[in-house]
Formats: sequence, C-alpha cells, structure tokens
Amino acid sequence: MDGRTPMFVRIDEYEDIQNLMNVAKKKLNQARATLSHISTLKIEEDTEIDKWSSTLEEVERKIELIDKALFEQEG
Amino acid sequence: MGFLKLFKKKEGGEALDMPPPPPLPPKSVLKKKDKKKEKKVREGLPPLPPLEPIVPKHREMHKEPTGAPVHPGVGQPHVLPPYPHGLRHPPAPSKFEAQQFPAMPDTEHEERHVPMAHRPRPVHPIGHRMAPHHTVERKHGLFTAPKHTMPKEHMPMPVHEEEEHKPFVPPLRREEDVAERKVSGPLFVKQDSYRSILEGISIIKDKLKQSEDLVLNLNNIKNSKDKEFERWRTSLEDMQRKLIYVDKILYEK
Repeated sequence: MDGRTPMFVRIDEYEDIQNLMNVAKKKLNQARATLSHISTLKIEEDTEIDKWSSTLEEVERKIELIDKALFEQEG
Repeated sequence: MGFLKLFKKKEGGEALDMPPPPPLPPKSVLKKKDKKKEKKVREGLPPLPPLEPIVPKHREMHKEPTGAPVHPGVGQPHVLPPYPHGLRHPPAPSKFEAQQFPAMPDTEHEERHVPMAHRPRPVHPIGHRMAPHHTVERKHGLFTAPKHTMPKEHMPMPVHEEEEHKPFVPPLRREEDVAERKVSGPLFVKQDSYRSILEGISIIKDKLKQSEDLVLNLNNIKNSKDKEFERWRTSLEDMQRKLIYVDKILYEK
C-alpha cells in the first residue's frame, strides 16, 4: 500500500459513539465537581484538625497547671 | 562595379555540379492512378459544403468612449457551447462496485465548514489559466486530481521529515459544525485519526484504572481516619467522665 493514499475506516454507530462521548464528558465534569467539593471539604477538615490541635495544646497546658497546683510541694 | 559579375551565373555547362533529376513517369500512368483515387474518395465522403467567406483572423476590439479596448467576454452573459452528440456519458457504477466502494462523504459540503484561515491557498503561476480539462473530474463519487505540471519556482515548500513524524492530532471542531453535519449514510474516519482515537481510548482506560486505584486508596485512608476519630471520641468521653469525677471530689466538700 502506498503511504500517501489516505485510508478510511468505516464507523457504523457514529451517533451512539457521539452520545457516549457526550455522557463521558458529563461524567468527567461531574468528577471534576466532586473533586473540587472534596478539596473544599479537605480544607475544612484541615482547619478543624488545626483547631483540635490548638485545643489539645490548651488542655495540656491546663492539665499541667492543675497538676502543679495539686501536687507541687510547698516550701 | 566589376565585382558584381562574380555573382552572375555562368552560362553553359559550368553552372553547378547538381546531379540530373530523375525521369518523370509517363502522363498516362499518372492520370489513371489519380482518377482511381479520386473515385474512391468521392464514393465514401458526402458532398462538400459551399465555401464560407473568409473572416479576418484578428477581430477588431470594441472601444469605449475613453479609448480603452473592451474584451469581448466582459459584460456579456457566458454561454456554453452545445454538448457534442458524438460523446457519451461515463457508465454508471455496477452493483458490485457500489458495494465494494461506497460513495465517499460529500467533501464539497464539508469544505464549507473549514475556516478560511486553515484553507491552503492555491498556487497558480502568474499568467497560468486553468484549461477546462484541468478542472476536478468527478466519476462515481471518486475525485481525480487535475493533471497539470507546475513550474519548479511555484511548487510549495517540501515538508520536513520532523514534521512528518509528528503524531496526528485531529483538529478541534466547533460544536456548530458538528451540529450542522447530519449524514444518514455510512461514515468513514481517516486511518490516522482512527489510530489516534484507539490510542486515546487505551490511555483513557489506563487513566480510569489509575483513578480507580486512587479512589480505593482514598477510601482506605478515610476508613482509617474514621477509626481514629472513633477512638478519639471514646477517649474524649472517658476523659469527660473522669473530669466529672474529679469535679465531684473537689467541689462536694
């Protein structure tokens, strides 16, 4: 076969393929939206974890204070 | 002017060294042969039409009031000469040909959607005019390229090898173009674009598998996170109970 002559491949169910491609595009858009939603959720989760960490530090400090107040020997 | 006498023919046998001409055939033989030929020709041919008056080869051009000559074709409706009776149309394709080689998609219609910027400009040498037989012939839905030689100086630049080895990237289509195209018959895709489609599909499959694995990993992380949160919640409840107990001991007194 000569490489220059263009060869064509017959496609019978072109419309079905086109519809499937549209569905795939929609699914891809949905996946993109879900990923962005998960990303925002993760950011919120990170802020909550930061808050939790700061709360834990505060509790630790309070416990130390109580511990000092209760068990420190005067003198 | 005595030197002119040199060019004068010398009289007598000293003129030239030419050989004597061949002897002519007898007149009776010539006449008989000519008569026979004339008879044969007259029997096979129709009578000659009467002679037309001789028309001058170069017609005089009409002149505008400004003095500039007017081309005879300009400003007049173009009338095609009648189709000769002796010629026949090419035969229609047989059933076998129609099955084996179905009609190609209408490229004339498709050409309309190609933006002007992407259209290759035709290269015509200066002063070159396309003869009627140079136009694109269409036979049985197949196009045959016009055969005309192009001078070397007007030939397009040769494509570099690097450009030829580049992978085929199908051109982006506008949605309007796709919506306009509604062909009922079988559709054909170029082999190169079909290959690129298959490659794209295989890449999409791999990416989908990768994303599936990623989703599984994320799900595992989420499950372990949920377990940690549950443990933390139980430990927090335990701490609350203990704090309440300490609170009771300290403030009940």
